Amino acid sequence: MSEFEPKIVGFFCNWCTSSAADLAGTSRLQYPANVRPIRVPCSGTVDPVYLLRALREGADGVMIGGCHPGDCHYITGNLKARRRVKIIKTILESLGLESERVLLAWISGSEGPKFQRVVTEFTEKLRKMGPSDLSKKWK
Amino acid sequence: MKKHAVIYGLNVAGMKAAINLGMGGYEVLFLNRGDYVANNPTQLLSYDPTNITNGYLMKGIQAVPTVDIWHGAEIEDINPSENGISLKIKIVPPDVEPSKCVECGLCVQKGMEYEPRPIGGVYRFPAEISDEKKKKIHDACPFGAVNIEKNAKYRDVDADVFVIASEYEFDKQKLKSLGVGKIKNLWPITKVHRLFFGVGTHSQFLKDEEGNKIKSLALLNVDSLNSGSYFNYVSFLSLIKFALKVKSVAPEVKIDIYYNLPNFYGKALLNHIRDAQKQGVNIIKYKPEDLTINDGPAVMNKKYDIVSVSYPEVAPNSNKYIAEKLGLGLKDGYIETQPGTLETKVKRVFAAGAAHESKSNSDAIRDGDVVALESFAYLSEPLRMPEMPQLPNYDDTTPVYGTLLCKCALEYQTHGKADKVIDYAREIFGNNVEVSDFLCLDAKKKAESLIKKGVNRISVGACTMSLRGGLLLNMIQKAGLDSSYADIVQLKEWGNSEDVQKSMLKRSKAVLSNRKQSTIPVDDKIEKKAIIIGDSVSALTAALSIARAGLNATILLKDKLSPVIPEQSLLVNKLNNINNVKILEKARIESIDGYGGHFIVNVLLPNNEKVEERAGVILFAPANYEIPDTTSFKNFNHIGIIFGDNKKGTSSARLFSDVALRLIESLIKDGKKVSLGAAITAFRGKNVKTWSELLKNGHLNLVVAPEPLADSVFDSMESALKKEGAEVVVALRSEETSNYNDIVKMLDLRMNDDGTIYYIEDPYDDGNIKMVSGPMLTKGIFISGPFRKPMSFEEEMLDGQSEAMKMLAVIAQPAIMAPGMRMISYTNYRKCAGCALCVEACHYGARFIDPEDNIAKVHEALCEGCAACVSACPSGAAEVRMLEAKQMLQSISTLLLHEK
Repeated sequence: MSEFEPKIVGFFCNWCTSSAADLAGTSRLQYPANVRPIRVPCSGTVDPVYLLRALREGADGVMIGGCHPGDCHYITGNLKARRRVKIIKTILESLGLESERVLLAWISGSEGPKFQRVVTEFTEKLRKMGPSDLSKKWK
Repeated sequence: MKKHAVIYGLNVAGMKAAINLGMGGYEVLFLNRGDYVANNPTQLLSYDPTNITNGYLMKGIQAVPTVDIWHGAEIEDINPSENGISLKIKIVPPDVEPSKCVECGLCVQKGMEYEPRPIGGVYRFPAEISDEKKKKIHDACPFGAVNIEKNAKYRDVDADVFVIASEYEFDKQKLKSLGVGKIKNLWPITKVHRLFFGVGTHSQFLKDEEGNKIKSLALLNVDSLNSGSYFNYVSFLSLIKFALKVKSVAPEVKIDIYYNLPNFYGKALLNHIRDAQKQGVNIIKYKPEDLTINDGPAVMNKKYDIVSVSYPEVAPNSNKYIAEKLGLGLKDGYIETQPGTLETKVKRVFAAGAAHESKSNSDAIRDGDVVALESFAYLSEPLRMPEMPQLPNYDDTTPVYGTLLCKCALEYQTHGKADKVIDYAREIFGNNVEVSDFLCLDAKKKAESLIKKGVNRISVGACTMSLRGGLLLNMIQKAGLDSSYADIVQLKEWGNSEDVQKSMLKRSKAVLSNRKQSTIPVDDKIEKKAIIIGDSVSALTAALSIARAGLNATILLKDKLSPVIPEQSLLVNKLNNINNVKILEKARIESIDGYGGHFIVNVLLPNNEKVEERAGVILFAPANYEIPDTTSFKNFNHIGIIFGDNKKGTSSARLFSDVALRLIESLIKDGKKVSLGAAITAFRGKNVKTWSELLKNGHLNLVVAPEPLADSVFDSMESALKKEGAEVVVALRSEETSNYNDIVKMLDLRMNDDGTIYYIEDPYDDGNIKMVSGPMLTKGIFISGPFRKPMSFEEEMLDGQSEAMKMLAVIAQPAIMAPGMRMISYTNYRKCAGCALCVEACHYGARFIDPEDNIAKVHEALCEGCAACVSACPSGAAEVRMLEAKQMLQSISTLLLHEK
């Protein structure tokens, strides 16, 4: 059996992480292609429903990339995201699901290498955890 | 100075070309003739202040670091040679240096003029100003931004290619000659528009210069070239829309619209004409030579309260100068290029957008792709990112921690308690603490000294991530430690509390303990191959372009490859000399599976052999250029020809193609008389002139159903032609589009009733959040040639190249792009008039007119959020917004669907 390739849905803030992803690409930094990016206006716009939906539809992991605290284009959007992710992780755990499959990372527009590193690490972690059975449980 | 490409002027085509080249690592220099970037908007109606296409494209350019812009630049001298082009450029500084200006407005108080613009504004000296006053304004500026002495600078630039991309201009001379400015109540259309859209009530508009209420209004569509150019068509349409608006507030006003278009084009225009006629608007065709405007004002001796004249478009003024310098040919002021390309007869010189032809926005953007593709042959080596040195791997060694602290940030953020924080750092990191007064300046040195001490994990305390984060990480990388082993602590967050400061330092150390060097190779699974369906001119051009880029292409044909027109055979000859294009004849496509980047096409060959073709992109570009046998017409002198074959009488795919023109020309050459019957007579593009000349000389007799209510009489066309004296009538049938129904279905496309192709319909189900499991069209499928829109052979060549450029962009990328982009466009249904201008403007094929309710709809998956539609929409119905919840959910599903 070939090595398991996790599927990651990434919600990337328009102002920071998306640019970081672009920067990583234009600087020819190599990072695994497991992340399927969705550009959002702000990490604060990521509804917990999106996270759950992604996991339900078969994603092995969900990643949210936002600006560093204090750098949010909309002042406090990333702090709201942080709060929501915290809550959703608690809910997942109380349901007996793996909360590690949700990752929140602060990656600013100039941090191409950091983007590469975070994605690589998360992919590795998920690879070790194995495929998510969350979508099966749902049905 | 050496540049890869110099682009003269700032039209849309030039900007797109710059983005394309810049992203490839080529250095591009823009020469802006004016002092402001977005002041002369795109090639659509420019009196719309909300036009932001330029703004968007400029944003794109500013995001590409290899693109440079010089404002106030003129070309002083230009010398093309075999190995490149040397230019002498004159730069006149602006009245106010934008880099120094902080927009405090002190100069305006002293008499400087300020002109507000959509993005920022422009400061200028008033036209008549004394040196003394200039000096006063200069002294008022605390930043020394005001230039009094305008000494031009001269620069020499060598370039590989030179692109002429001047903006179009309005023919103010023509308006003057008609009497605008002299005759009372004779206004340019912009004046009427501004009054109407501006502040105040509508009834305020309906007054003439003396304040009397008006009862009659004439709108005059003038054309400098008498060519029926695209621009002329758009301005005519806008006049009709304007008339409808006036009618809606003041039905009692009598409105006459005068036009001299050789033809009408498209359903939208006809619908508007019909609506206008219902409202009692007279639409009158005039001959340019008969046009008279007298005092009164009166048009052809008919008196009106107000006469309003539309602005005619003319070729850019600068074209003349450049053409003279380079010895290029001019056609109506537009620069002539080699057939089927945008390259002029001088090698390495290109003309694009409005410099080349009167074009729509979407065509101009397409030009940008073509220029980029055609110029690759001349460009020298692009800039490459410096190769990163192989750095030692510390994954398995014992971590030795160290920290770099910036005193500048510390002092500021901790309100002078920097020393305390440094003490904490010493507690945690021991001796491995380096403090710099300004870390930005000597990060590399400090990092090196840490690494010398044996440190292999570095925590950096600096101001903000976005300001300095990337720079510091780069410096650490340069100092010899992989940036994976560094972490940046934002000192801003440390705050004043002792606990917070300590815990931040500890956290950083803990984070570093788990760091691993990232060395996973790129997943490079995308099929670097293209499948091209059909053998139209555009299909063959695209295949050639892809092959030249070094990638493979397979052409799938329903029948045998049998070129019938010269352009086709020329391309086939070229393809025969190239190895990486495979042609499968008489191939039946059994199924198309997969998605953008990973298509699998199962093909059945004539010998019953099954082949599986894999490709990253698919181009759908069939065509059938069947020329009717003219020998059977020998015995007849007067031949009737009907265009198109569908009952709705809309433009059939072949309607405008050169095939018809060539047939008619050959018949006329044989001395026959030809009567042409068409539901809508519509000639577009470069051939307009040829058509008009044929009509003018009396060789060609045009039988049109009574304009403009043309589309219901198609069936009676045959008898109408016979009445004109035609002895035999042939219908020039477009290809049976139903032949391709199965492939169109497999590709999830939708066929329009005139034989052109829509992309698939909106898969979203309104009402509840029900997910549609059907495949959604993402990137990877392209359409070109007559199936995309009616086009001439020359247009097809450009279109094929442009699609090839887009295809190359997809198959060169390492990962599939997300369907959910930054922004998407949508339609305000209440405002939409169904004019289809946005469909024309959209260069991603994301907009279409829903035949059911005649409203422009958007295919979200295709929309790139460029807002070209926003600038095109005259009624403000097209807008851009972020993704909605259900679209986001659909995006998630689509992204995960691919792997199933």
